[in-house]
Amino acid sequence: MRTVRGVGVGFRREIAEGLLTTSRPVDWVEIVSENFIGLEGRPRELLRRCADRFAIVPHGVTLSPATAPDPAYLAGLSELAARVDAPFVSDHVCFSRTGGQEWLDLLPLPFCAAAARRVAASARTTQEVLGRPLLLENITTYAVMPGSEWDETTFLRKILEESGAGLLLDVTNLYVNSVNLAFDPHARMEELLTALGPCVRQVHLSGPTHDGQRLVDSHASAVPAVVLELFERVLRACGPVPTLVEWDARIPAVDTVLDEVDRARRVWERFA
Amino acid sequence: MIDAYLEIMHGYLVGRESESATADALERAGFSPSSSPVAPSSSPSTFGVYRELVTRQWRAVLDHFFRAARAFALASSRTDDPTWDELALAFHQAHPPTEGNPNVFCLPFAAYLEARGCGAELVELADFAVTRYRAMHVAHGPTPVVEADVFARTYGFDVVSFSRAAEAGEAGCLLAAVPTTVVIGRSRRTGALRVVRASLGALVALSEADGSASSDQLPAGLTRALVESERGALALEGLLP
Repeated sequence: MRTVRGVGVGFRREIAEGLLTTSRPVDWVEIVSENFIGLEGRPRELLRRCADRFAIVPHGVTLSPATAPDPAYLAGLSELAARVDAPFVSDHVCFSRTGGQEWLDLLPLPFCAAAARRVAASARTTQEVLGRPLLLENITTYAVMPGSEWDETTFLRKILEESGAGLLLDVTNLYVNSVNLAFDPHARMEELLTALGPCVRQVHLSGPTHDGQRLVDSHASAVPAVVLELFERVLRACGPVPTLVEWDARIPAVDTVLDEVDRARRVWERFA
Repeated sequence: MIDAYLEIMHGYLVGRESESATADALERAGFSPSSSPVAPSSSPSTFGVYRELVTRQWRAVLDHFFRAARAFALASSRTDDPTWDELALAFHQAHPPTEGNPNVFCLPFAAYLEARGCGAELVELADFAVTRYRAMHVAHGPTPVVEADVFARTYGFDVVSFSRAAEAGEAGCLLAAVPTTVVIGRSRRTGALRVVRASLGALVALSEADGSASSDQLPAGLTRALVESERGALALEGLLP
Protein backbone atom coordinates (compact mmCIF):
# COMPACT_ATOMS: atom_id res chain seq x y z
CA MET A 1 0.00 0.00 0.00
CA ARG A 2 1.44 3.35 -1.02
CA THR A 3 1.97 6.01 1.58
CA VAL A 4 0.09 9.27 1.39
CA ARG A 5 2.33 12.02 2.69
CA GLY A 6 2.94 15.67 1.92
CA VAL A 7 0.77 17.92 -0.22
CA GLY A 8 -1.21 16.40 -3.06
CA VAL A 9 -3.61 17.71 -5.63
CA GLY A 10 -7.03 16.81 -6.96
CA PHE A 11 -6.64 14.75 -10.14
CA ARG A 12 -9.07 16.31 -12.59
CA ARG A 13 -9.61 15.62 -16.27
CA GLU A 14 -8.62 19.16 -17.30
CA ILE A 15 -5.14 18.85 -15.81
CA ALA A 16 -4.72 15.07 -15.96
CA GLU A 17 -2.18 15.03 -18.78
CA GLY A 18 -0.25 17.86 -17.17
CA LEU A 19 -0.05 16.05 -13.85
CA LEU A 20 0.96 12.79 -15.51
CA THR A 21 3.82 14.44 -17.36
CA THR A 22 5.00 17.25 -15.11
CA SER A 23 8.49 17.19 -13.64
CA ARG A 24 7.30 19.25 -10.66
CA PRO A 25 6.69 17.50 -7.34
CA VAL A 26 3.25 16.02 -6.77
CA ASP A 27 3.22 14.07 -3.53
CA TRP A 28 -0.07 12.23 -4.09
CA VAL A 29 -3.44 12.68 -5.75
CA GLU A 30 -7.08 12.40 -4.87
CA ILE A 31 -9.60 11.19 -7.45
CA VAL A 32 -13.36 11.72 -7.35
CA SER A 33 -14.58 8.15 -6.86
CA GLU A 34 -17.72 8.61 -8.95
CA ASN A 35 -15.65 9.58 -12.00
CA PHE A 36 -14.08 6.12 -12.05
CA ILE A 37 -16.43 3.59 -10.43
CA GLY A 38 -17.60 1.07 -13.00
CA LEU A 39 -16.26 3.01 -15.97
CA GLU A 40 -14.11 1.62 -18.73
CA GLY A 41 -12.40 3.43 -21.59
CA ARG A 42 -10.65 6.68 -20.90
CA PRO A 43 -11.28 6.77 -17.11
CA ARG A 44 -9.81 3.29 -16.72
CA GLU A 45 -6.78 4.20 -18.81
CA LEU A 46 -6.23 7.43 -16.87
CA LEU A 47 -6.52 5.56 -13.61
CA ARG A 48 -3.90 3.04 -14.69
CA ARG A 49 -1.45 5.77 -15.67
CA CYS A 50 -2.21 7.71 -12.52
CA ALA A 51 -1.64 4.68 -10.29
CA ASP A 52 1.69 4.03 -12.03
CA ARG A 53 2.90 7.40 -10.85
CA PHE A 54 1.06 8.47 -7.70
CA ALA A 55 -0.42 7.27 -4.45
CA ILE A 56 -4.18 7.67 -4.92
CA VAL A 57 -7.00 8.33 -2.49
CA PRO A 58 -10.59 7.92 -3.76
CA HIS A 59 -12.70 10.81 -2.48
CA GLY A 60 -16.42 10.29 -2.94
CA VAL A 61 -19.38 12.63 -3.11
CA THR A 62 -22.32 10.20 -3.09
CA LEU A 63 -21.81 7.87 -0.13
CA SER A 64 -24.62 9.86 1.50
CA PRO A 65 -23.97 8.37 4.92
CA ALA A 66 -27.20 9.73 6.36
CA THR A 67 -29.05 7.48 3.90
CA ALA A 68 -28.77 3.71 4.08
CA PRO A 69 -25.57 2.76 2.24
CA ASP A 70 -26.14 1.66 -1.35
CA PRO A 71 -24.66 -1.86 -1.68
CA ALA A 72 -23.93 -1.39 -5.39
CA TYR A 73 -22.08 1.82 -4.72
CA LEU A 74 -20.09 0.24 -1.91
CA ALA A 75 -19.17 -2.67 -4.16
CA GLY A 76 -17.96 -0.29 -6.85
CA LEU A 77 -16.04 1.80 -4.35
CA SER A 78 -14.48 -1.32 -2.88
CA GLU A 79 -13.30 -2.43 -6.32
CA LEU A 80 -11.90 1.02 -7.04
CA ALA A 81 -10.08 1.26 -3.70
CA ALA A 82 -8.56 -2.16 -4.26
CA ARG A 83 -7.56 -1.30 -7.83
CA VAL A 84 -5.56 1.74 -6.72
CA ASP A 85 -4.46 0.13 -3.44
CA ALA A 86 -5.86 3.10 -1.53
CA PRO A 87 -4.63 3.56 2.03
CA PHE A 88 -8.03 5.02 2.88
CA VAL A 89 -11.10 6.52 1.22
CA SER A 90 -13.07 9.61 2.09
CA ASP A 91 -16.50 11.19 1.74
CA HIS A 92 -18.65 13.79 3.48
CA VAL A 93 -20.88 14.18 6.54
CA CYS A 94 -24.06 14.94 4.66
CA PHE A 95 -26.90 13.48 2.66
CA SER A 96 -26.85 13.56 -1.11
CA ARG A 97 -29.57 11.03 -1.94
CA THR A 98 -33.23 10.83 -0.92
CA GLY A 99 -35.96 8.60 -2.25
CA GLY A 100 -33.54 6.98 -4.71
CA GLN A 101 -32.73 10.35 -6.26
CA GLU A 102 -29.20 11.75 -6.36
CA TRP A 103 -28.99 15.47 -5.69
CA LEU A 104 -25.42 15.86 -7.00
CA ASP A 105 -24.75 18.08 -4.00
CA LEU A 106 -23.69 17.76 -0.37
CA LEU A 107 -26.72 18.60 1.75
CA PRO A 108 -26.69 19.37 5.45
CA LEU A 109 -27.97 17.34 8.36
CA PRO A 110 -29.28 18.54 11.67
CA PHE A 111 -26.53 18.32 14.27
CA CYS A 112 -28.41 15.80 16.40
CA ALA A 113 -28.02 12.33 17.91
CA ALA A 114 -30.23 10.59 15.35
CA ALA A 115 -28.20 11.93 12.43
CA ALA A 116 -24.91 11.17 14.17
CA ARG A 117 -25.97 7.57 14.83
CA ARG A 118 -27.00 7.04 11.20
CA VAL A 119 -23.82 8.56 9.77
CA ALA A 120 -21.69 6.55 12.20
CA ALA A 121 -23.49 3.32 11.31
CA SER A 122 -22.98 3.98 7.59
CA ALA A 123 -19.32 4.76 8.19
CA ARG A 124 -18.86 1.48 10.07
CA THR A 125 -20.56 -0.44 7.27
CA THR A 126 -18.40 1.29 4.68
CA GLN A 127 -15.20 0.45 6.53
CA GLU A 128 -16.26 -3.18 6.95
CA VAL A 129 -17.12 -3.59 3.27
CA LEU A 130 -13.98 -1.83 2.05
CA GLY A 131 -11.61 -3.21 4.65
CA ARG A 132 -10.01 0.22 4.69
CA PRO A 133 -10.32 3.32 6.87
CA LEU A 134 -12.88 5.95 5.96
CA LEU A 135 -12.33 9.64 6.53
CA LEU A 136 -15.34 11.91 6.81
CA GLU A 137 -15.21 15.54 5.76
CA ASN A 138 -16.93 18.55 7.29
CA ILE A 139 -19.06 20.27 4.64
CA THR A 140 -20.06 23.83 3.91
CA THR A 141 -23.49 24.69 5.25
CA TYR A 142 -25.53 27.75 4.42
CA ALA A 143 -27.93 27.13 7.29
CA VAL A 144 -27.93 25.29 10.58
CA MET A 145 -30.74 22.86 9.98
CA PRO A 146 -33.80 22.65 12.23
CA GLY A 147 -33.38 19.96 14.86
CA SER A 148 -29.73 20.75 15.59
CA GLU A 149 -29.09 19.94 19.25
CA TRP A 150 -25.36 20.47 19.16
CA ASP A 151 -22.74 22.59 17.51
CA GLU A 152 -20.93 21.08 14.53
CA THR A 153 -17.83 20.13 16.52
CA THR A 154 -19.87 18.05 18.95
CA PHE A 155 -21.78 16.49 16.06
CA LEU A 156 -18.56 15.47 14.32
CA ARG A 157 -17.05 14.18 17.57
CA LYS A 158 -20.05 11.93 18.20
CA ILE A 159 -19.84 10.50 14.66
CA LEU A 160 -16.12 9.87 14.82
CA GLU A 161 -16.34 8.30 18.30
CA GLU A 162 -19.15 5.97 17.28
CA SER A 163 -17.68 4.98 13.93
CA GLY A 164 -13.93 4.98 14.35
CA ALA A 165 -13.67 6.99 11.14
CA GLY A 166 -11.06 9.72 10.81
CA LEU A 167 -11.65 13.38 10.09
CA LEU A 168 -10.85 14.93 6.75
CA LEU A 169 -10.71 18.52 7.89
CA ASP A 170 -11.63 20.89 5.08
CA VAL A 171 -10.16 24.15 6.31
CA THR A 172 -11.80 26.15 3.53
CA ASN A 173 -15.21 24.76 4.43
CA LEU A 174 -14.77 25.92 8.01
CA TYR A 175 -13.77 29.35 6.74
CA VAL A 176 -16.69 29.54 4.27
CA ASN A 177 -19.11 28.61 7.05
CA SER A 178 -17.61 31.26 9.31
CA VAL A 179 -18.35 33.94 6.70
CA ASN A 180 -21.86 32.76 5.86
CA LEU A 181 -22.93 31.93 9.40
CA ALA A 182 -21.01 34.79 11.04
CA PHE A 183 -18.65 33.16 13.50
CA ASP A 184 -14.96 33.57 14.24
CA PRO A 185 -13.06 30.94 12.20
CA HIS A 186 -10.00 31.06 14.44
CA ALA A 187 -12.02 30.48 17.60
CA ARG A 188 -13.98 27.69 15.90
CA MET A 189 -10.78 26.08 14.70
CA GLU A 190 -9.33 26.16 18.24
CA GLU A 191 -12.49 24.52 19.53
CA LEU A 192 -12.42 21.89 16.81
CA LEU A 193 -8.74 21.07 17.27
CA THR A 194 -9.18 20.77 21.03
CA ALA A 195 -12.02 18.30 20.58
CA LEU A 196 -10.95 16.52 17.41
CA GLY A 197 -7.25 17.18 16.84
CA PRO A 198 -6.23 13.52 17.24
CA CYS A 199 -8.88 12.48 14.70
CA VAL A 200 -7.57 14.69 11.89
CA ARG A 201 -6.09 12.38 9.22
CA GLN A 202 -6.11 14.68 6.21
CA VAL A 203 -6.68 18.30 5.28
CA HIS A 204 -8.38 19.89 2.27
CA LEU A 205 -7.54 23.37 1.00
CA SER A 206 -9.26 25.24 -1.82
CA GLY A 207 -10.38 28.66 -2.94
CA PRO A 208 -14.00 29.82 -2.55
CA THR A 209 -15.77 32.50 -4.56
CA HIS A 210 -18.54 34.95 -3.71
CA ASP A 211 -21.77 34.69 -5.72
CA GLY A 212 -23.10 38.04 -4.57
CA GLN A 213 -25.14 36.59 -1.75
CA ARG A 214 -22.79 34.21 -0.02
CA LEU A 215 -19.32 32.74 -0.07
CA VAL A 216 -19.47 29.51 -2.08
CA ASP A 217 -17.23 26.49 -1.72
CA SER A 218 -16.53 26.54 -5.44
CA HIS A 219 -12.93 25.27 -5.55
CA ALA A 220 -12.49 27.89 -8.25
CA SER A 221 -9.69 30.14 -7.00
CA ALA A 222 -6.40 30.30 -5.12
CA VAL A 223 -6.38 29.39 -1.43
CA PRO A 224 -7.07 32.58 0.58
CA ALA A 225 -4.40 33.74 3.01
CA VAL A 226 -6.72 33.33 5.97
CA VAL A 227 -7.21 29.67 5.05
CA LEU A 228 -3.45 29.17 4.99
CA GLU A 229 -3.28 30.77 8.46
CA LEU A 230 -5.88 28.31 9.71
CA PHE A 231 -4.01 25.48 7.96
CA GLU A 232 -0.85 26.42 9.80
CA ARG A 233 -2.76 26.22 13.06
CA VAL A 234 -3.96 22.73 12.13
CA LEU A 235 -0.42 21.57 11.41
CA ARG A 236 0.82 23.02 14.67
CA ALA A 237 -1.81 21.01 16.54
CA CYS A 238 -1.88 17.82 14.48
CA GLY A 239 1.54 17.58 12.88
CA PRO A 240 2.19 17.10 9.16
CA VAL A 241 -1.05 15.40 8.14
CA PRO A 242 -1.50 14.69 4.42
CA THR A 243 -2.91 17.75 2.72
CA LEU A 244 -4.65 18.19 -0.58
CA VAL A 245 -5.27 21.24 -2.75
CA GLU A 246 -8.57 21.04 -4.67
CA TRP A 247 -9.31 23.04 -7.81
CA ASP A 248 -12.53 21.94 -9.53
CA ALA A 249 -13.99 24.87 -11.41
CA ARG A 250 -12.42 27.41 -13.73
CA ILE A 251 -9.36 25.19 -13.56
CA PRO A 252 -6.25 27.06 -14.72
CA ALA A 253 -3.11 25.65 -16.31
CA VAL A 254 -1.53 22.80 -14.39
CA ASP A 255 1.43 24.96 -13.39
CA THR A 256 -0.88 27.47 -11.71
CA VAL A 257 -2.53 24.66 -9.76
CA LEU A 258 0.89 23.30 -8.81
CA ASP A 259 1.93 26.79 -7.70
CA GLU A 260 -0.89 26.54 -5.14
CA VAL A 261 0.35 23.10 -4.12
CA ASP A 262 3.84 24.53 -3.63
CA ARG A 263 2.41 27.39 -1.58
CA ALA A 264 0.70 24.92 0.73
CA ARG A 265 3.78 22.71 0.81
CA ARG A 266 5.95 25.58 2.02
CA VAL A 267 3.67 25.83 5.07
CA TRP A 268 3.44 22.05 5.46
CA GLU A 269 7.24 21.58 5.39
CA ARG A 270 7.69 23.80 8.41
CA PHE A 271 5.97 21.07 10.43
CA ALA A 272 7.34 18.00 8.65
CA MET B 1 -36.12 9.69 13.12
CA ILE B 2 -33.53 10.76 10.58
CA ASP B 3 -35.57 9.02 7.90
CA ALA B 4 -38.41 11.44 8.61
CA TYR B 5 -36.00 14.32 8.12
CA LEU B 6 -34.81 12.92 4.79
CA GLU B 7 -38.34 12.28 3.59
CA ILE B 8 -39.46 15.80 4.44
CA MET B 9 -36.39 17.30 2.79
CA HIS B 10 -37.04 15.15 -0.28
CA GLY B 11 -40.49 16.70 -0.65
CA TYR B 12 -38.92 20.12 -0.41
CA LEU B 13 -36.06 19.44 -2.82
CA VAL B 14 -38.29 17.98 -5.52
CA GLY B 15 -40.47 21.08 -5.25
CA ARG B 16 -43.49 19.34 -3.79
CA GLU B 17 -43.50 21.41 -0.61
CA SER B 18 -42.77 25.06 0.06
CA GLU B 19 -40.01 26.15 2.36
CA SER B 20 -42.45 27.21 5.10
CA ALA B 21 -44.46 23.97 4.83
CA THR B 22 -41.18 22.06 5.05
CA ALA B 23 -40.14 24.00 8.13
CA ASP B 24 -43.52 23.20 9.72
CA ALA B 25 -43.25 19.52 8.80
CA LEU B 26 -39.74 19.34 10.24
CA GLU B 27 -40.94 20.92 13.47
CA ARG B 28 -43.86 18.49 13.73
CA ALA B 29 -41.38 15.63 13.25
CA GLY B 30 -39.31 16.92 16.14
CA PHE B 31 -36.77 18.98 14.20
CA SER B 32 -37.38 22.26 15.91
CA PRO B 33 -35.52 25.37 14.80
CA SER B 34 -35.43 26.55 18.41
CA SER B 35 -33.40 23.53 19.46
CA SER B 36 -30.33 24.85 17.67
CA PRO B 37 -27.78 26.26 20.10
CA VAL B 38 -25.60 27.77 17.40
CA ALA B 39 -25.43 30.06 14.38
CA PRO B 40 -26.89 33.35 15.57
CA SER B 41 -27.29 34.65 12.04
CA SER B 42 -29.18 31.67 10.70
CA SER B 43 -32.92 31.49 10.70
CA PRO B 44 -35.25 28.57 10.06
CA SER B 45 -35.90 29.88 6.60
CA THR B 46 -32.31 29.91 5.40
CA PHE B 47 -32.34 26.29 4.30
CA GLY B 48 -34.41 27.58 1.41
CA VAL B 49 -31.18 28.14 -0.45
CA TYR B 50 -30.78 24.42 -1.00
CA ARG B 51 -33.43 24.00 -3.66
CA GLU B 52 -31.69 26.70 -5.65
CA LEU B 53 -28.30 25.06 -5.08
CA VAL B 54 -29.34 21.56 -6.16
CA THR B 55 -31.04 22.98 -9.22
CA ARG B 56 -27.88 24.87 -10.05
CA GLN B 57 -25.89 21.65 -9.70
CA TRP B 58 -27.85 19.46 -12.10
CA ARG B 59 -28.36 22.32 -14.51
CA ALA B 60 -24.61 22.89 -14.62
CA VAL B 61 -24.09 19.22 -15.45
CA LEU B 62 -26.73 19.17 -18.18
CA ASP B 63 -25.72 22.52 -19.68
CA HIS B 64 -22.07 21.51 -19.83
CA PHE B 65 -22.74 18.07 -21.27
CA PHE B 66 -24.97 19.55 -23.99
CA ARG B 67 -23.14 22.81 -24.68
CA ALA B 68 -23.85 22.70 -28.41
CA ALA B 69 -27.51 21.70 -28.08
CA ARG B 70 -28.00 24.42 -25.50
CA ALA B 71 -26.31 27.02 -27.72
CA PHE B 72 -28.59 26.02 -30.58
CA ALA B 73 -31.73 26.12 -28.40
CA LEU B 74 -30.85 29.51 -26.97
CA ALA B 75 -30.23 30.91 -30.45
CA SER B 76 -33.36 29.38 -31.93
CA SER B 77 -36.13 31.93 -32.03
CA ARG B 78 -39.15 29.75 -32.87
CA THR B 79 -41.65 30.86 -30.29
CA ASP B 80 -43.68 27.64 -30.32
CA ASP B 81 -40.68 25.56 -29.18
CA PRO B 82 -40.14 24.93 -25.49
CA THR B 83 -37.19 26.89 -24.14
CA TRP B 84 -33.99 25.20 -23.04
CA ASP B 85 -34.94 25.92 -19.42
CA GLU B 86 -38.31 24.24 -19.90
CA LEU B 87 -36.76 21.22 -21.58
CA ALA B 88 -34.12 20.85 -18.89
CA LEU B 89 -36.64 21.07 -16.07
CA ALA B 90 -39.05 18.63 -17.70
CA PHE B 91 -36.22 16.19 -18.39
CA HIS B 92 -35.02 16.37 -14.79
CA GLN B 93 -38.52 15.67 -13.55
CA ALA B 94 -38.92 12.73 -15.93
CA HIS B 95 -35.41 11.33 -15.46
CA PRO B 96 -33.98 12.47 -12.10
CA PRO B 97 -30.38 11.44 -11.42
CA THR B 98 -30.18 8.05 -9.77
CA GLU B 99 -26.45 7.39 -10.02
CA GLY B 100 -23.51 9.12 -8.44
CA ASN B 101 -21.78 9.85 -11.72
CA PRO B 102 -23.61 13.00 -12.87
CA ASN B 103 -22.89 12.35 -16.55
CA VAL B 104 -25.04 9.22 -16.43
CA PHE B 105 -28.00 11.47 -15.72
CA CYS B 106 -27.48 13.11 -19.12
CA LEU B 107 -27.47 9.97 -21.24
CA PRO B 108 -31.26 9.63 -21.86
CA PHE B 109 -31.59 13.29 -22.89
CA ALA B 110 -31.37 12.81 -26.67
CA ALA B 111 -33.98 10.06 -26.64
CA TYR B 112 -36.13 12.21 -24.38
CA LEU B 113 -35.98 15.14 -26.81
CA GLU B 114 -36.87 12.86 -29.69
CA ALA B 115 -39.80 11.35 -27.80
CA ARG B 116 -41.05 14.87 -27.08
CA GLY B 117 -41.02 15.66 -30.77
CA CYS B 118 -38.30 18.28 -30.56
CA GLY B 119 -36.67 19.45 -33.77
CA ALA B 120 -34.18 17.17 -35.49
CA GLU B 121 -31.43 19.76 -35.03
CA LEU B 122 -31.68 19.61 -31.26
CA VAL B 123 -32.08 15.83 -31.16
CA GLU B 124 -29.04 15.31 -33.37
CA LEU B 125 -26.85 17.71 -31.41
CA ALA B 126 -27.82 15.93 -28.18
CA ASP B 127 -27.24 12.53 -29.72
CA PHE B 128 -23.79 13.59 -30.90
CA ALA B 129 -22.86 14.61 -27.34
CA VAL B 130 -24.20 11.38 -25.85
CA THR B 131 -22.48 9.24 -28.48
CA ARG B 132 -19.11 10.88 -27.91
CA TYR B 133 -19.47 10.25 -24.16
CA ARG B 134 -20.38 6.61 -24.73
CA ALA B 135 -17.44 6.14 -27.08
CA MET B 136 -15.00 7.37 -24.44
CA HIS B 137 -16.36 5.20 -21.64
CA VAL B 138 -16.37 1.68 -23.01
CA ALA B 139 -13.74 -1.00 -23.13
CA HIS B 140 -12.30 -2.16 -26.42
CA GLY B 141 -12.71 -5.81 -27.29
CA PRO B 142 -10.31 -7.53 -29.70
CA THR B 143 -12.55 -6.53 -32.59
CA PRO B 144 -14.77 -3.46 -32.81
CA VAL B 145 -18.48 -3.82 -32.21
CA VAL B 146 -20.66 -1.19 -33.81
CA GLU B 147 -22.96 0.48 -31.27
CA ALA B 148 -20.84 -0.92 -28.42
CA ASP B 149 -17.41 0.65 -28.74
CA VAL B 150 -17.53 2.36 -32.11
CA PHE B 151 -20.52 4.26 -33.41
CA ALA B 152 -21.72 5.18 -36.89
CA ARG B 153 -24.20 8.01 -37.26
CA THR B 154 -25.86 9.73 -40.16
CA TYR B 155 -27.21 13.15 -39.22
CA GLY B 156 -29.31 15.49 -41.32
CA PHE B 157 -27.24 18.44 -40.15
CA ASP B 158 -23.55 19.15 -39.78
CA VAL B 159 -23.54 18.62 -36.02
CA VAL B 160 -19.78 18.05 -36.04
CA SER B 161 -18.83 21.54 -37.19
CA PHE B 162 -21.52 23.21 -35.12
CA SER B 163 -20.58 21.34 -31.95
CA ARG B 164 -16.90 22.07 -32.41
CA ALA B 165 -17.59 25.79 -32.79
CA ALA B 166 -20.21 26.02 -30.03
CA GLU B 167 -18.10 24.07 -27.56
CA ALA B 168 -15.17 26.36 -28.30
CA GLY B 169 -17.41 29.24 -27.30
CA GLU B 170 -17.71 30.76 -30.75
CA ALA B 171 -20.69 33.07 -31.08
CA GLY B 172 -23.14 33.04 -33.96
CA CYS B 173 -22.52 29.46 -35.12
CA LEU B 174 -24.86 28.22 -37.81
CA LEU B 175 -26.08 24.64 -38.05
CA ALA B 176 -25.93 23.77 -41.72
CA ALA B 177 -28.52 21.40 -43.19
CA VAL B 178 -25.80 19.20 -44.63
CA PRO B 179 -26.23 15.43 -44.27
CA THR B 180 -23.24 14.18 -42.31
CA THR B 181 -22.12 10.60 -41.74
CA VAL B 182 -19.53 10.03 -39.03
CA VAL B 183 -17.77 7.24 -37.22
CA ILE B 184 -17.20 8.03 -33.56
CA GLY B 185 -14.90 6.09 -31.28
CA ARG B 186 -11.97 6.10 -28.90
CA SER B 187 -8.72 5.52 -30.70
CA ARG B 188 -7.25 2.10 -30.01
CA ARG B 189 -3.82 3.65 -30.45
CA THR B 190 -3.95 6.94 -28.54
CA GLY B 191 -7.07 6.67 -26.38
CA ALA B 192 -8.30 9.99 -27.77
CA LEU B 193 -11.78 10.64 -29.13
CA ARG B 194 -11.94 10.32 -32.90
CA VAL B 195 -14.80 11.66 -35.01
CA VAL B 196 -14.26 10.78 -38.65
CA ARG B 197 -16.49 11.78 -41.54
CA ALA B 198 -17.27 8.51 -43.20
CA SER B 199 -18.04 7.37 -46.71
CA LEU B 200 -20.09 4.33 -47.62
CA GLY B 201 -16.82 2.45 -48.05
CA ALA B 202 -15.86 3.22 -44.45
CA LEU B 203 -19.21 2.01 -43.16
CA VAL B 204 -18.80 -1.22 -45.10
CA ALA B 205 -15.28 -1.67 -43.72
CA LEU B 206 -16.64 -1.14 -40.23
CA SER B 207 -19.50 -3.61 -40.73
CA GLU B 208 -17.13 -6.21 -42.08
CA ALA B 209 -14.76 -5.76 -39.14
CA ASP B 210 -17.56 -6.21 -36.66
CA GLY B 211 -18.86 -9.23 -38.56
CA SER B 212 -22.24 -7.76 -39.36
CA ALA B 213 -21.59 -7.61 -43.11
CA SER B 214 -20.19 -10.16 -45.47
CA SER B 215 -17.10 -9.31 -47.46
CA ASP B 216 -18.50 -11.28 -50.42
CA GLN B 217 -21.00 -8.69 -51.52
CA LEU B 218 -20.38 -4.98 -51.85
CA PRO B 219 -23.01 -2.29 -52.42
CA ALA B 220 -23.25 -1.08 -55.96
CA GLY B 221 -20.56 1.40 -56.88
CA LEU B 222 -18.06 0.22 -54.30
CA THR B 223 -14.91 -1.69 -55.09
CA ARG B 224 -12.90 -3.93 -52.83
CA ALA B 225 -9.94 -1.59 -53.24
CA LEU B 226 -12.00 1.36 -52.02
CA VAL B 227 -13.25 -0.55 -48.96
CA GLU B 228 -9.69 -1.61 -48.13
CA SER B 229 -8.52 1.96 -48.49
CA GLU B 230 -11.21 3.11 -46.06
CA ARG B 231 -10.33 0.27 -43.69
CA GLY B 232 -6.75 1.51 -43.68
CA ALA B 233 -7.86 5.06 -42.98
CA LEU B 234 -10.02 3.94 -40.03
CA ALA B 235 -7.11 1.87 -38.70
CA LEU B 236 -4.85 4.92 -38.89
CA GLU B 237 -7.40 6.79 -36.76
CA GLY B 238 -7.34 3.90 -34.29
CA LEU B 239 -10.99 3.09 -34.94
CA LEU B 240 -10.17 -0.35 -36.31
CA PRO B 241 -7.45 -2.71 -35.06
